[in-house]
Amino acid sequence: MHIPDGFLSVPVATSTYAISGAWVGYSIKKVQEKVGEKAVPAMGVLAAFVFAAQMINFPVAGGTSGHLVGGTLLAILFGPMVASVIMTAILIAQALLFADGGITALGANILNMGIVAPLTGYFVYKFIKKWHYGAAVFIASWLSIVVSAMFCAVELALSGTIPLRIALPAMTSIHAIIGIGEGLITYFVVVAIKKMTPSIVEEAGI
Amino acid sequence: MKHHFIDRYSGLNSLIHRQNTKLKLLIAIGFIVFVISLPRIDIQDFVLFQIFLLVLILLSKVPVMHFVKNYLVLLPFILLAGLSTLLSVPRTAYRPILNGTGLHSFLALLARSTLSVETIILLVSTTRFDDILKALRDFRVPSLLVSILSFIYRYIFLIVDEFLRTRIAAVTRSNGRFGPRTWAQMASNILLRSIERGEMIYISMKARGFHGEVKTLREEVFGAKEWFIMAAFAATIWLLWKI
Repeated sequence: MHIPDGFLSVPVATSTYAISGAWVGYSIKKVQEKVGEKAVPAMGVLAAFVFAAQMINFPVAGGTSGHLVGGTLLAILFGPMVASVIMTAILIAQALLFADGGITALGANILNMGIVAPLTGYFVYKFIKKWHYGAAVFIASWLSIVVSAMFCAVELALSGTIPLRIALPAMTSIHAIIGIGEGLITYFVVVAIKKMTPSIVEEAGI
Repeated sequence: MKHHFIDRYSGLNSLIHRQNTKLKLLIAIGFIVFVISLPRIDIQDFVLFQIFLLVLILLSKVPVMHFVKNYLVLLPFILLAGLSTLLSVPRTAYRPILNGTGLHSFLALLARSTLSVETIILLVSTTRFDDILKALRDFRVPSLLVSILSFIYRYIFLIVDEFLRTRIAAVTRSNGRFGPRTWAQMASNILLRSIERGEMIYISMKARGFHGEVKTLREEVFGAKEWFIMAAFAATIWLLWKI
């Protein structure tokens, strides 16, 4: 889902930069107010953790492979704003160290995977949690992948790169499959963490 | 353990490595923005820019194979995404590329992303990562974000090691057959250990006087020489495009 350089038109690239910049800037301010610099190393190590986890690919049907995005996982554990900040750092690191995701497309990639994914995941999780905990975690993380893939498709279509009637069904269906892996792993990780240290899952606040 | 794939060549010494970090960052981003926002890109433009980049790559002493390998890893994704342009002619094309057919817009897409990917690899393999972070901080990127980035870089090697060790342990015990449940158990184990480690690191950093800013030993000055190089670059790129 990482959009490379050259796939977005200048208006789409700049407007996604503006949206992402505003939201991430606001999140950084909020996170600093709430937890202060005390959280910096913890967030840093978490970011390194998700970064490492993203390097491990799991096979998806049809010979393709997917990897964890981790937005919903972070949002469930630490809240959507912390998740946005950590995901932003991860996406910058990937764009620089692996050239994975373009510099000019960074705003769009942050919007899709660092803002839309954690927010979707977080609110779906909050909403279904009372009904069934496990299903909430799975559906939230699956849906977060599908919705951010849709955003990605719309951005590509708005740029005139790929028409919407091709991009939307293609991106949605591929990520509906990849999302199953995300959902399963997020589910197992959250359940395992809840078993080991329940306090972490409960005190998610920001 | 093996993780040469991350940041292997930034410690070399070459003409490019010795340049000012902010200068390199500005030129790289400027070049990418230029390539992306060109109304059209012909084969001739692409070849000229490519030769220009190749000269820089050779000057940097970073093996050309490093670029090829990195690029080949990314190519399938670029091709997959670009393929759908080949299949159809977008009616609302933002940039009418050449005569607007699918093949040409596909090639333009490929050209733009190829040049950008090479530029980024060149930037990162000729600049130390903490120098980049310091430059980002000087460009007013929030300190929280820069600190997290510096932690990613510092701990990625440790955590990758831990992942690899845990995976070896799991493989030897299960004969290589484990499902998502085991995978998740491994992941959460490492996650919890990471959180604990993060807390301990914070305490020891605090004890050593950390207050949230990146510090490097080298102080770089952005002076007249840097402005001159930047102007020369801009002029060269402009000329290459105009030819």
